[in-house]
Order: sequence, then C-alpha cells, then structure tokens
Amino acid sequence: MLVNKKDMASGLFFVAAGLLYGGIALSTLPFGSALRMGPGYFPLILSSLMVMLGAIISLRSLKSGPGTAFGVIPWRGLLLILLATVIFAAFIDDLGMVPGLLLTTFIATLASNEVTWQRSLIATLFITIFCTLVFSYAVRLPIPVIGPFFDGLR
Amino acid sequence: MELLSNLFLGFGVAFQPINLLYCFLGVLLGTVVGVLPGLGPLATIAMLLPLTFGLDPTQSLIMLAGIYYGSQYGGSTTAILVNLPGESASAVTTIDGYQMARKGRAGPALAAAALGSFFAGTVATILVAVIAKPLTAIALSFGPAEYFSLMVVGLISSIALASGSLVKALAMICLGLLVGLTGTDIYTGAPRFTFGYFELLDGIDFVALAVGIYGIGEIVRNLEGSESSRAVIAKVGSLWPSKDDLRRMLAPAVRGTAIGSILGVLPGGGALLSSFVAYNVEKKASRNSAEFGHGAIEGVTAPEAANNAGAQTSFVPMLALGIPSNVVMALMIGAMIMQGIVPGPNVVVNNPDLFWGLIASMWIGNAMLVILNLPLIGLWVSLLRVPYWIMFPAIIAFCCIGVYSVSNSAFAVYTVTVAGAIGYLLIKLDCEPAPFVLGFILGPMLEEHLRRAMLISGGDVSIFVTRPISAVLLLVALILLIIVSRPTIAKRRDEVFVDEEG
Amino acid sequence: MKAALKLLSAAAMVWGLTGLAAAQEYPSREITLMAPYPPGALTDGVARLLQPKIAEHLGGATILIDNKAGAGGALGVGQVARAKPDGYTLVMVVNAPIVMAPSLQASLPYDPRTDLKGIGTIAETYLTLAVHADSPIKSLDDVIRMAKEQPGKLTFGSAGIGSAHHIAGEVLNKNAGIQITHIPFQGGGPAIQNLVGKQLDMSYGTLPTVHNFVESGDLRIIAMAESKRVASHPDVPLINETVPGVETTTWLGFFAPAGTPDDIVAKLNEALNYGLAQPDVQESMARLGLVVRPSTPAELDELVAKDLEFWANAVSTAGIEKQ
Repeated sequence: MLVNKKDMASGLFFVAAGLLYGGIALSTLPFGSALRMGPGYFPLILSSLMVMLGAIISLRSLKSGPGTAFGVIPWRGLLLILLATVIFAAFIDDLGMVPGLLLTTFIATLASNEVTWQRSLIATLFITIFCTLVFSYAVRLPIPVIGPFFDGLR
Repeated sequence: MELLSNLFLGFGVAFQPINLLYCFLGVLLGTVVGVLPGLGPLATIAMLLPLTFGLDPTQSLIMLAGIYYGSQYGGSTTAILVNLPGESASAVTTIDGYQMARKGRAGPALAAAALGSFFAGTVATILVAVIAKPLTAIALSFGPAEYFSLMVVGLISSIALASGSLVKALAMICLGLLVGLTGTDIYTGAPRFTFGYFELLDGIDFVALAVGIYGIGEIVRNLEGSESSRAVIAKVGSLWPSKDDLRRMLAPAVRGTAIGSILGVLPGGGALLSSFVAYNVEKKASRNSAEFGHGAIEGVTAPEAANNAGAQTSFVPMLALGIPSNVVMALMIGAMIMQGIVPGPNVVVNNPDLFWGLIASMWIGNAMLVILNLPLIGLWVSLLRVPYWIMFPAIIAFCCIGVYSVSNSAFAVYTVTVAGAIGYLLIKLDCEPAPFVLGFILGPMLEEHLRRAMLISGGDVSIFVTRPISAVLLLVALILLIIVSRPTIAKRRDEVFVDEEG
Repeated sequence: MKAALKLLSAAAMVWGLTGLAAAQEYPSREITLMAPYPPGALTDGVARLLQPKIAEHLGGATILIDNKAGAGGALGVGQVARAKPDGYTLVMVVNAPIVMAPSLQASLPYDPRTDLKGIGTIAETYLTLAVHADSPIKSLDDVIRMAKEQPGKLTFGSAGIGSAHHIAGEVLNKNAGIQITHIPFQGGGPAIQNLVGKQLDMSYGTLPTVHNFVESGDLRIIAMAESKRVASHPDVPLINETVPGVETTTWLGFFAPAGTPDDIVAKLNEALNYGLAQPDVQESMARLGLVVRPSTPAELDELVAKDLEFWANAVSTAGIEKQ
C-alpha cells in the first residue's frame, strides 16, 4: 500500500502528544467554565484540536503516496551530541569551565563519523581554550574555571 | 521645532567623542560575542550587561545601545549562516536567510539584514521624536480584549508561515501553544505540565528551546551525510547585494518598518509579533511569493526591518510605562533603572537629556553597526569555511554556555537536550519549526488576555466586539481567515504539497 | 594528550596554591553573591549597588554576582541554602521567597527557619492601594460602599497569585465582607499600566511603581497596606485604620546558609551596614524607592520568624491554597 510513512508517523506523534497533554489537563487541572476558565480549559481545547489534526494527518497519509525517503538517522551522532549536552548540564557546576568543556567538547567531537584522534584533540583543546579565555576571563561568567570538585587538590 | 530641538539635544549628547567610543565598544563586543553560534542576543546582553554598570548613566546607556544592536545583528548573522536563531524574531529570518546562505548568497542576506534594520531604525527614530506622546496613548488604550484580538490576528496570519502541509503547520501551532503553557497558571497558581520539575514553574526557556530545535537539529542533520557530501553551502558568490537585490529590498523594508513601528508600540507582545506578521504580509504582497522559503531576499529584509522598527518604537511606552516588549528589553530597562532612569510618565520631562540621548544613541548604535559590519561581512561569511569538525563541537559548547548563562541554570541545558531530540524527530517528519515557535510565544499571551478579559467583563463575551479596537482587529482576523482558506490558495497549497511529496 | 594533561594539572596546582596561602583570613577567595532574579531586577540592582562597598570593607575581596532566576527567587535561594556554610555563597533577596513562599508553595526546596542565617536587613518599601485620578473613588470608604452596592463588579489588580498585593486584596474582601474581583498580572508593572489605562477600578502597587504616576497626575493613592503610616506620605491613611488586619511587609535581606560561623556573619553584617551608611548608596536606594533599614543578624532572624507567622495567618485568612 502506498502509505506516506512520514505523514503517518507525524500524525501519530501529534495524536499521542495531544492525548498526553489532554490526559494531564483532564486529570490534574480544573476545567472551570467559560466565565471563569480554569487552568485546564485552554489546554484541553488545544489538545483535543491537536488529536483531531493528528488524526487527519494520519488518515490522509494513507492515500497521499509514499512520499520522500526518510533518510538515515545518524544514531551515533545524535546520541553523542545529546550526551554532550547532558554531561555539560550535569557536571559544569562541579567541574568548572575547563574540565567541563574538555569533557563536553571531546564527546561532541566523536559525533562525526569521520572523526580522527588528531582532529578530536585539536578541536577539544582549541574550543576549551577559546571558551575559557572569552567567557571566564573576558566576560567573567560566574562559572569557576576549575570547579569545587577539585578543591581537594588545593 | 520642538522635534528638532529634542533630536538636537539627543545628538549633542550622543556625538561627544567619549560617548561615540563607548558606543563603538558596545557594538564591537555585542557583535563579536553575538556572532558566536549559540549565543543569542539574550545571552549576549546578559553576559555583557554588567560591564556597563560601572559607567556614568549616559555612557552606560549608550554602550548598552551599542551592545543591543551588536548582539541583535550577531544573532541575525548566526540565523542566516548556521540556521540558529538566538531570539524569537530571528526564527523568521532563518526561513529565507539560511536558504540564501545555502545558495551561496550569505553576503547579500547579511547586507539585507543590516541595511533593512538601519532603514527601519532611522524611520522609527524620527517617528518616535515626532509622535512620542500619542504613541503612549495608543499603548494605554489596549486592554485585555484588544490584546486577545491582536493575538488572534497573529495566530491566523501565522498559517502563512507554513511552506509545506497546512494541517501539519496547524498541528505544530497547537503543539507550540500547549508547550508554551508550561509553568505556573497566572490565575490560580496551579503548576501546569511541569512534570514535577520546580525549574519549569516559570515556563520553558525560549532560548533553550530554540537552541535545541534549531541548533541540535541542524547539526545532527548535517551529520547524516559524510563530510564531503554535506550539501551545506554552495560556492559563496558575491558578498554584496546586486542592484536587483537592492531594488527588491526597498518595498519590504518600507512595509516591514511600517508594521514594526505600529506593533512595537504595544507593550504586551506587539513587538514579538512584528517580525512574524511582516514576513507573512510580505509573502502575500510580494511579486516573488513563490520564492519565499527558498531564499527570497524580501523574506530577510522585511522581518529584520520590522523587528528593528518595533524595538525602536517600543522604547516610548517602555520608558513611559515601564513595560518591556520582550526579554531583551526587560534586561535593558533593568539597566536603566540601575542608572537612575526610573520608567514613568515623567521620564521625558525629568531626564530629557538621557531620554533623547538614548533615542539618539540607539540610532547611532544602529549606524555604527552598519559601518562596522558591512566591511566585515566577508569575515563573517568566512566563518562558513571553518572546517565542520571544529565548527559543530564549538556550536555545542557555545550553545551550552549561552543557555546556561541566561539564568545560570544547568536545568536549561537539559531543556536543550529534550528539545533537540524532539525537534530533530519533527524536522525529520517534515514538520517546520517556525509555526511551533510562534505558537509557543503566542500561547501564554493568548490565554492570559482571554481569561483576563472574561474576568474583567464578568464573563460577557460581547466585550470583544463592543470595544471598537478589538472589533476591528477581529474583523481583520476574519478577512485573513477568508483569504487563507480561499479555494485558489488552498489549491495552490495542495500543489506545493504534492510537489514536495513527489 | 599527556603533555596537555600535565599542563592542566600544573595549572590547577598553581591555582590551588594561591588559594592556600591566604586561607587564614576570611575572605581568602572570591565570594559568590546570589541575586536570584534576572540582571537589572530590583534585587540585582541593590546587590550591585552594595557589592563594591562590601568588597571594600572586606579588604578588597572579589564578589561575583550570580543571577540565578526562577520560581520567584526560590531557585536561587534554594541553591544558597544548600551551599557550604563557609561565607563564600551568600544571597540578597526580597522577603517573598523567604517568608511568604513557605505558606504558598507545597514543595519549596528549603526551609527558611533551618536552612538560612540572617546577616542583616537591607531596606524596605511599602504597598499602596491606588485608583485612577479620574476615578469616583476617593477613599477606602468609597471602595467599601461601592463594592457593597454592586458585589463582584469592581476589580483590583495585583502582581500575581500569592503576591502581597493579592493577599492584601483578599484579606480586605474577607474582613470588610465585600467582593472585589481579583485580576492577577505578571508583575506589578503591568497591573499599574492597566490601571493607568483605566482597565481596572483599583490596583495595589509598591510605592516606587506607583509614585511616578501620582506625580504625573495619572493615579491617586487612597491608602497604604502597612501597619504604620509611611514617613514620606504621612497624610495617606492605612487600610488598617478602617478595616483591621489588612497589612503587608516588603523588605530586602542579606542571608548566608545556616551554619555559617558567627564571626563571618558578624564581619559580613559590619560590611553590609558600612555600605548602607554611605551617602551615595542611600541616594541610589531612594531613587529605587527603597528606605534603607540596617539591622543586626539577630534582628533579621527575629523579623523572619515574625513574618513567617504573619504571612501564614494572612494567607489562611485570604483563603489562598498552597500549590
């Protein structure tokens, strides 16, 4: 069958998101009345609308032809980049600017499928030095250069 | 004559050599930091703001104006070059600006942004000097009913943002509206969609959301192919706009300026809408409307002009009423208060030199930006030649630092992660981010004003049609709706749709 | 890679040694001063005003200002409450997240009684009840009379749910037996703007927000929601004088994490009060609409204990639910 997979998937995504938000609104937020709208009034209307639109997108996908190719998902790149941001968020306060950036940037450099050790090292060091000079010394952001995690070394 | 003496007073202050120097410093710093991909105007200004606190009031404000323009332009630059908008307004600039860059026309796009802004800034400065008083009166006549109707106009015109499937665009607007509602309900204090996170009580940070959707999404998409097959940028052509480009920029700049000037006066979100509305109007009005979404120079000029004009005219109600038009302006107003300019109706009377000096220095900041940046366009474009294996980890690092520094919170960086993952998925499914962004901005305002209007009127829906300005706005919305859903346009939409699917 | 690591660890050691040499005397390294609102907000302004004076009194210490905004200040206060009590992480903050939030928020990430130690009070300001200059309402008696004539018709603006404005308005409703509809805004500025634009019948507003519009002839203050008449406005009556129980407190305080050594707290209190005594600081504070109010650490702790109880009562009278 000629199903447009992208449209089918996005339609289902909107239906699911609509059900999630609608469910939360219905179960935790009072609906109120048109006169005194509760915190759940607007969200419930919107999420219902979204479920409807999602359903239309999915149904139309059944006969709109196969559509463009989905293409590859660069899983390794995607996950490593997301991991880099998580590592930054989790450790920047404790590690401080220099160690935090070394770690974050190093992980990010690995995301490219054409990474080499040389490139990775050069990029990591260059970016860390650049950011530390700009943000720690020039702009004086309140992120310590070396974080409290290394206090023991002192 | 009063106008002339006012402007004369202002320029007298702003043209002192020491003040010009601070203005230049501000523009330079703002541009240099703002041009780093991932650091939008908000993060840039938040970082640089403390530098101005030690100066005397006039110098501080003039340097601030420089930083403001520099960072705004820096933000437009990253929007155009690497598809990374730093604030809501440049989310529109990415649509055509990035397409231009991909076609090797980054130079003309950057020039269009700078020249469009400068034109708008000049006109708006004169406008402010001529009709400062009536502008404040307009702002005051807008109550909750009027704001609600204005948001409806914005919402309906936003449908034109979509260049692909209409239904998907509508669904994305809905999703944006819902996500925008995250946080504490203003009317009951109930936390909504915070999933138990204390940090989400103030809502989702726009900067983090934009960085996630655009920044992470774009990088991962670029990682799909191998380095050599990455179809990023065609050969960089001429750095300057051609005669034809300049001719095509003129009308959009004028229309954008008009729209931005009017909407900028409304402190409750008018300026936020201006770039979106200007883009939509241009898309309908332009002879080249087919080119929109594929690198139309009009699609860069109009929103940039509107944004800048709006920023300039929003100064009047902002100084008179103390209501900033957006987050960046909120930072600016805070800095002013620290310098002893307490916003209020008498600020023009009590501090004429500061007020007019500020207006003049905003214009000078804008002019200096053009002078500084037109010669540097070549340099910015050459950023594109930085090898991608250095560029993308650098963007990640800048994004993390920038998002962190907006509120010094690691939580916002996690927002980037989540928004990046979901954003990438949606982009893969051909769902465009621009309607989502507009919904995200409009959602909370739409609801806030609707519920306030109902509370004030005691539940009487007729408030929206009995108040003249609100009624006119709703009429405009209705006409827009008819235009958008007219069969011919719907058909053309379908053709576009089929085209892209085929 | 190895060379780089060596370089880094060497750098880290040099960094550490410079810290060690001066560790005998407080402060021996940079102090982080939390202002838990965006840069440019009132609290941030006060922090930046006092920062150089406190640094000067502490022998040229480096004080970095950290603007961690969010949840009405509770995020930044929470971070300081959890920080090491060594005098290197401090917070300047308005009273709302300290004494009001515990009665309003169910999941506050700190307890002001056990997690914070007061260093000193900084300043206070006052809450007014204002109407448009063209309004037929001239006094609080007019408010009560008109509210009784048309119940639910009048509206009052506030800075948001759970703000002092909101609580004062609801306590007035309760204690006077009237029904004025509460219209919350996001902050005091927009509420006053809507009052100037005649979208509201009346609004509460802090003196600095309202004052300019009174001078320009747009607004009129009809009463203060305070317990004592305000020195700068001796002729303005208190709501309390007509309807007892309608009062609020608005102040700024300087806090350290609980457990901070007493001698460090005393040193910081001295530095704060030195700063508050400077004429240029007092002048800038006045421009921000604040009245300087120095105190001892013990006095601030007492004020916190008293206000916690006061606001708990006010919130329960107002009938506002904990979220």
